[in-house]
Formats: sequence, structure tokens, C-alpha cells
Amino acid sequence: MPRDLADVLHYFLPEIDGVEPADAIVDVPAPNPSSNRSSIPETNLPLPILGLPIGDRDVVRSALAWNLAIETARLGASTVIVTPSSDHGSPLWPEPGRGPLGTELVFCPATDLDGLYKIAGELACSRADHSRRGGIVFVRIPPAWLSGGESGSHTIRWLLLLTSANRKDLHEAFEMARSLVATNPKVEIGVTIHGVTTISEARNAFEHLSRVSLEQLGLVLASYSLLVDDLHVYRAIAAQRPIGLAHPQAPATRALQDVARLLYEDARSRVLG
Amino acid sequence: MAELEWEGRPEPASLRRAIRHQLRRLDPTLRVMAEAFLAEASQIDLLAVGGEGEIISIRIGQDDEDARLLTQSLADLTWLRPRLGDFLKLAPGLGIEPSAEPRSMIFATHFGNETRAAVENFPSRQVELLTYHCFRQRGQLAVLFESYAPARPHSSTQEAQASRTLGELGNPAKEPLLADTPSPSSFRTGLRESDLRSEFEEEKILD
Repeated sequence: MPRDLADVLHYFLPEIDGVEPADAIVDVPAPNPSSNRSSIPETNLPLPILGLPIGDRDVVRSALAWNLAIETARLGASTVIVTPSSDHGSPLWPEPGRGPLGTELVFCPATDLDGLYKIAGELACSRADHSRRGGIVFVRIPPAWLSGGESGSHTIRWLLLLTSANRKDLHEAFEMARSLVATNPKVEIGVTIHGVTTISEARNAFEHLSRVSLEQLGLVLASYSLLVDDLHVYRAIAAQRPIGLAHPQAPATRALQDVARLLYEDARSRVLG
Repeated sequence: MAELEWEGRPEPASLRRAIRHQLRRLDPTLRVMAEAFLAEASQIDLLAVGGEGEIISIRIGQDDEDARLLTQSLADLTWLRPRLGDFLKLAPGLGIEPSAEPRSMIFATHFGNETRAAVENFPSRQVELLTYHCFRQRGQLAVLFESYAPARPHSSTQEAQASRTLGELGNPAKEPLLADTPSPSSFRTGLRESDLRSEFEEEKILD
């Protein structure tokens, strides 16, 4: 007998392409230098990699990232979260392996940005083989790895900043963008404003950050909607349950679905060129 | 929104009220303290205090009045500057900052090229030009603002970098929401305000 909504959810959701047996991948072995993209069939383009700067104790942002990956999977995408194995056992993430709607959480032994992106790149290629509808590899980047011209920052092509609308967070987001653009002028940076209660609050914050980024950095930011300040978010975080499954009608879920839709649309347009 | 009707030339007092109402929504830090306030030789439509304690002269007119409004606004700034201390004494609770330079906002349905060019001689925000459109919704006059911002040096130059400080970041409520340069990357969302309300709140509204 089904005991949980998650047990019966597959009856109502679109099929997820290429779902493999649920094998928990705890640690991905370090990439073999001899294995490169030439071993991947050329017909399958690698999944786009989306970098997410999330602090070592930032439970809220990690929960939002995990829920975004799940909501993207709900749209039919193949989604993987890659995070340094130093996170293992921390409250940032649930257990590794395949989770709700096929979303996969992978701890990798990287100690720098280069290592992290090498493994993410390998996963992007290997998962592309099984993802007819495309997908996204979400990568948790420790913010310290982005600052100070850390080697490897040039490998980042697509980054999402989750920032609240308050002065301090917007300032930090701007500084992060400034630091990254200094070493990697081609990076595409998107912004989701989280913790807001109205659309206008998010719009004002985004437009302000966008304007200053353009004026001071010549950087055009992409908008990825907003995430709301909702008690359900914190309840779901505390219970380590996906918000969309625990509270499907909550405003937080609607907002997550909207951000996921924008990310997935952009991810697909990237793959299509 | 189906009941919207464009309104041509509303009666001045109604227009003033509608603009005042919309200003309050878009910039909560701006407090209107007087209507039809007599200055040098004519009435300032709305006299307000901004978020930094600066006094703001707000002039409202129609499309062929922009040059006159600009002249009057500049005269307002000259008239207000030596009187800041008096305002502070008369209304100490308004948060007027006597060291803050007064500024001006001009509302019209259209601005000619000469008026726009003239405003470019002033520091940013000292004289703001804002176009508005009037319509009626369920019989009530309402206005929509459309900003005009003067041309500034191009973004990548050092001048532009110097023109804005990071101190402005992160406090949208204090920003000149109506007159900032439109961002080239627009805010994207498929959400509506009703999507952000929980079922409980929806029920309360329906009740």
C-alpha cells in the first residue's frame, strides 16, 4: 500500500527518460585523463552545467538548489547535483544517490574548481546518453573557490546566483559577479531573487542589480524569476522533503516550478545551439 | 484589467491625487507633505520629502507644458533651498535633512527634445522627467508612469563606473524607481501576484 505521495507520484508525472536503476553514487572516482569527450557519441551533446555558489553552511540555498533540480526533473529533464565530497554528512544535502523524480546527488572528491568541473563535465557527457529530453547538471561551488582568481573559473560558462533582495546579499552577488567576470569575461550569469513576498520586490531588486552590473562590469544578467519567502520552504528544509512533493499547492512550489521552467528552457536552447 | 479606459485630460485635482497614490505605491520612502503649495509665483503641485530627507518639488502638467514646468521646477529649487531650515522648524517630524539638496520631479504626458536636452545639464536625479498615462478603472482615475532618463556616458567607461556607488545596491525602496535607466536584461517570471498567495490567504480575500 502506498504510504507516501512520492510512492504514487509516477502515475501523475511525465516519464523521465533513461531512468537507470537506483544506484547510489557516493563518490565518483577522479576523472581519468585518458577518458575525454571523444569517447562520447557525438550525437549526444553534454548536458549544460549550471554553477551555483553556495556556502558551506548555507542550508537554505542548498535546499533551494536541490528543489530546483527536482522541479526541473518534473519537467522531464535529467538532473544531477554535483557537490564536493567535503559536504558528505553535512546538513546541506540529503543522502547521495538517486532521489525524488530521478534527481541524482553526487559527491565528488574535487578540492578545486578545475576538479569539480572535470567531474561535472564527465557526468554531463555520460548522462546525456540517457536523456532524450536534455537536462542540467547543477554544481555546488564553494564561494571561496570563485574568489581571488581561482584557477578553473574560466571553465564556468553558466552560473546562477541566488540572492535575496536585501542590500547585503545584492552586494555580495555583485561582488561575486565582478570577481568571476574579471577572470572569465564570457561567463553567463543568471539571477534568482529569493526570499521575497511580492513580484515587484523581486523585480526591483533584479533590475537594480542588473543595471549596476551593466554599468560597472558591462555584464548583462539573465533573470530567472523569484523564490518566495514561505514557511513551507523552511518546513521542507527541516524535514529534508522536496517542497513540491510535500506542499504541491504552496506558493513556494509554484515559484520553484517557474524558475525550473526558465532554467530548463535555457538549458534546452543551449543544447540546440 | 478588462475595464480599463484611456482618460484624456483629467481634472487637475484628480490627476494630482492619482499621481500621489501611485507614487506612494512605487516609492514608499517618498512622503507627500503638501498639495498646491505656493512657491515663488505659482503653486507646486505636490511637495514631498524623499528617502534621504531631501525636499522634492513635484510639478504636473500636460504634453505641451513641459518647458513651462521645467522653468517652474528650476525656480522651485532656488526658492526651496534657503527655506529648508524653516521647513525643518515647522515640521521637525518629517525627517527633512537641511543639508540634502532639493530636487525636482516633473510629470507630463510628453517631453520635447529641448526639455530633455536641457535636463542633461543637471546632476543625475536633480531634475527627473517622468511621463504618465491616465486611464479609468471601474470609474477611478489611475495613472501609469513611464520613465525618461537622460542620456549618460556609456556603461563601460570609468565615468559611468564612478557615477554609481555600490552603496546604492540592495535597497530598492530607496531607489529612484521611476527614472532609472531601463535594464537591458528584463526581469522574467511567469508568476502572478495571486500565485504568491497561499490558499489560506486566498480564502481570506474571498471572504
